[in-house]
Amino acid sequence: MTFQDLIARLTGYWADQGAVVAQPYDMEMGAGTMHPETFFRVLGKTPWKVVYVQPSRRPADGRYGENPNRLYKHHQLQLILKPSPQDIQDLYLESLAACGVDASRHDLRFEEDNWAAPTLGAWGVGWQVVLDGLEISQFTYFQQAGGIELAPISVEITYGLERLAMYLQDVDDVYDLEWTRGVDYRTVRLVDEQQSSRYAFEEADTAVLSRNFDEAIAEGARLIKGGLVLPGYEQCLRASHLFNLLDSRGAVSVSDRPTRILAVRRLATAAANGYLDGP
Amino acid sequence: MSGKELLIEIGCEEIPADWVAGLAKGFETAVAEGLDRERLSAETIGSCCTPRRLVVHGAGIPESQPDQVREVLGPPWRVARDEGGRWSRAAAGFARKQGIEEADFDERLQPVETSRGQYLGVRQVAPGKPAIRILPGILEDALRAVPLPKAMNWDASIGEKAFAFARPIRWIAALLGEEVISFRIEVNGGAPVVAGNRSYGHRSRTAVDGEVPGASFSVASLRSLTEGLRRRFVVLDGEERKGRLLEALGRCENEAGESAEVGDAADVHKDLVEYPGAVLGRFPNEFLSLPKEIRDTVLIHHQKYFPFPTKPLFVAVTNLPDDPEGHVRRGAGRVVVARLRDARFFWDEDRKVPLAETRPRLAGVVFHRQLGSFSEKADRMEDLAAWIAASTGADAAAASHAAGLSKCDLTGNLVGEFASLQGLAGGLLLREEGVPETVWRAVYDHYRPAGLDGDLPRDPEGAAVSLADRADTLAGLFLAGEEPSGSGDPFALRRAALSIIRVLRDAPADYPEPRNGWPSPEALLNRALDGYHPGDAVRAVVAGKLAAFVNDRLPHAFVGPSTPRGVVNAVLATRDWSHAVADTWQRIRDLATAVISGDYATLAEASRRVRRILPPEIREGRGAGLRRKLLAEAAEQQLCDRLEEVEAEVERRFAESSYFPAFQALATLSPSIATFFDDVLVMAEDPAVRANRLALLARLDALFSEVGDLGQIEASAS
Repeated sequence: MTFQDLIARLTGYWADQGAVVAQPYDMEMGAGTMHPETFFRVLGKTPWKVVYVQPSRRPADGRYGENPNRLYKHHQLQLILKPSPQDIQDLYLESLAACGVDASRHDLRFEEDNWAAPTLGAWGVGWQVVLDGLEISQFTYFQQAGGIELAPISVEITYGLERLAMYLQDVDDVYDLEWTRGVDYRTVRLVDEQQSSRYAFEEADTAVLSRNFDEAIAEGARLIKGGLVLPGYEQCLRASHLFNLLDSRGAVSVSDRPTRILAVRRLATAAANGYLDGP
Repeated sequence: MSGKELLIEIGCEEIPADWVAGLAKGFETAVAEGLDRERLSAETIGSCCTPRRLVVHGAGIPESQPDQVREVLGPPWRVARDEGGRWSRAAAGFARKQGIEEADFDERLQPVETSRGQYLGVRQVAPGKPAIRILPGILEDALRAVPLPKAMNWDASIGEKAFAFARPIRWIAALLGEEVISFRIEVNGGAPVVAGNRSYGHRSRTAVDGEVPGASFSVASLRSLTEGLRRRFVVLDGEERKGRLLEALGRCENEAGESAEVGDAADVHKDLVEYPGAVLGRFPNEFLSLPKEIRDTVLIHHQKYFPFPTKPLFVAVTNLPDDPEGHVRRGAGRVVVARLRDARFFWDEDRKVPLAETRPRLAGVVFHRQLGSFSEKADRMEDLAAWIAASTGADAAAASHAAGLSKCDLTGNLVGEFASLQGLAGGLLLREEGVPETVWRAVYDHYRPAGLDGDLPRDPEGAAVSLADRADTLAGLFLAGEEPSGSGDPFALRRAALSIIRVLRDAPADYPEPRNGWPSPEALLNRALDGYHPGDAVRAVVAGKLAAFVNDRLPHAFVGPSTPRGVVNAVLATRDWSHAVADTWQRIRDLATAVISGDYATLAEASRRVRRILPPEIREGRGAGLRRKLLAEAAEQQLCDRLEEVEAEVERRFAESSYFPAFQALATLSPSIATFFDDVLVMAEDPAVRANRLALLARLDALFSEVGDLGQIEASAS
């Protein structure tokens, strides 16, 4: 199963379950959880089902395209079901079966793994799903987001697409993955990895990043205060990514860290409250 | 056995492995208490569990509560009848309220004697309710009473009240005999979970012909549940799962030709799976060049696999009985290789720069916001470790060198990725660089011991670094006002204090050379306080708090199976943090031994008695004014003679720190003391004789006080 087949299968499976197929958000972010389709939709009472792929940037994980397992940018397939269906674990296993994983031939575990995102004021409880020793998904019942207690509870399932594809294709190097017939992951992504790693570790101007961070925080606060919750939240996403870039450059001092994390969280919390107060 | 069988199975999504057993036990206790409270006590009750189910089973549950008879009191008896001898209006009103017809008044209305006089009363019989109607309430209360390490919301409620649990509950089987207990959990936005008589086996395996894996099956009893589950690849009993796990592990070990390093991990693993199996995995030989500590961290901490001592193999526990196509073995091997490759990358990166050259980076790692960085901490530790090592006669230069480098690995890649390698990583890197063994081992070992348990550092220089690290942390955080309060101890200072006490307690025995003294906790922590240059006033306050903190922890380090609390308290009455811990420990152990062989019950009783009798000013005189010629009676003369002998013996033995013979000698006083109290009247009429007898007792008390407070020794310990 090629990389894009995997995406199509999983997306199709959840679309058949009634989920909206959303598109990746057109901004940099560290995880699919930050996509407004998750961050805002888990708030409040309105039921929602959504699935999308989100390219996720983790500057500190950049390896210049030389590490077979670590990437500056990887792909998450993110699912939100609100409220969480009672047979959600079975549905999840069916989704794996749709990708060709026969659970009776593999060791499949739900191992405790609680999730917390301090910058989003969010946490949940759940598991990492481990397939023959490989963590392939994060399975979380959201308890809080934007500092707000949630009811109903949403379930979030995040598939690590590269890992799952490597497993299914039986390859040891992510760049050997078949993206589609005749085109490998290397061809599609290697240059991006090389250049992004060089940017993050060598070239990013930390003074500029730091200034941009402060600007994003200020701008976001101003916008949210004025009722423009979504554009304000976008500034929160920017700030969060800028923080990660600064961090990968080793430019966040220990005393600086809590202050910056708190600034991002304040913005996220304000956006969440603004969303609930809004029309 | 009469009564009915109770079976409750709470089917859950996977409960965290280290909670499962505790939750099952907690549920069992809560159900048992509920049954007792409702007068439906089971003859036997028990529980078992897997990650996906908590099961409580009881036998001999009565079918209904016993009837309850109670006396209901009405008005005083004297107003129960009117002048005509008929039931008064008050009596009739009360009786009707109790549902008694007038025709039955004479039969049912009776006088009842109470402490306040005679009253009109009726005996009311409340018929017991059937157990099947009481059990829903018991079940709800019990589910709510299960102690959860962390509760999760899942939109559930019982009755009208929200209900959180460890993980969502997906099915409930609840039977009393053959009858289903009526119980349901509402789920907002979904179907309720309704108790029934069905259970579920393994998600993906079944041995039942024609049945789809994961399908439900009906249960009628614990036995049918256990057997039904077994045919569907679920072993309900935890100990049986552990046994199967160890068998599967044994097969892997046979194949490997070596024993795996399992420790006590089988206990956790048995609750990670419902049907344990094991596969033997392999990684390429090239990774054998990676230090074993790093390999094991990958295998154990990240993958929960069992490593082998020398071979490039590991065991993975599975939730399947077999792996016919080798999927699990290959998958596990691939993950391990990826992880090991990462670890080797970090190891190679860290080795590019000598550890000492990374020390300036510590300036960027905050130790505590008021106390500066780890760079400053390392500087203070250098001085402190050198002082400790010097005072014991160990290699001060090596200890200081190690202390200065001990925190450098915090900025390295390995510790960044595998936090549990701190200390070890630095030690391994220094070993690679070829620094002397004493130095790299001191860095490697300096997080030992973890409180009262675990090994001490291998060398006295390592012990010096360990003590320096903990003492510096304790002194600094107390100066910063971060002393623990109640259950809050975010910096693990209690454990730090216990680690210090533990090292000082065992160091002289563990490190026969050198033979100089190890500092007392007081000397150590004062020296550590010096490193922060506090003002005199602050210093005095903090030293006082540290003294109380350490003194409070001393008993924890001493009380044990062969050193009872009474003996420990007896010695600690006169010994605290200002004394050498090992010497205190020697006294406690010797006294505990002496108490077993000698008559310390008499001594303890005498000590308590003497302290009751003696006025404080006489006690403080320690028998100074004792005059031999005023001792008139044989018993007091004899006690005085024996006392002098034993005093001399105790003094001689104490001088050579040989406590056991001293304590034995002390016990030989018992007969003389007993005779003295039998024969001699201390409070004699003649004031001179009385004063002299009190002086004799004061002298005895002074001798006792050399040991401590003998009155603390419990009678049972002697």
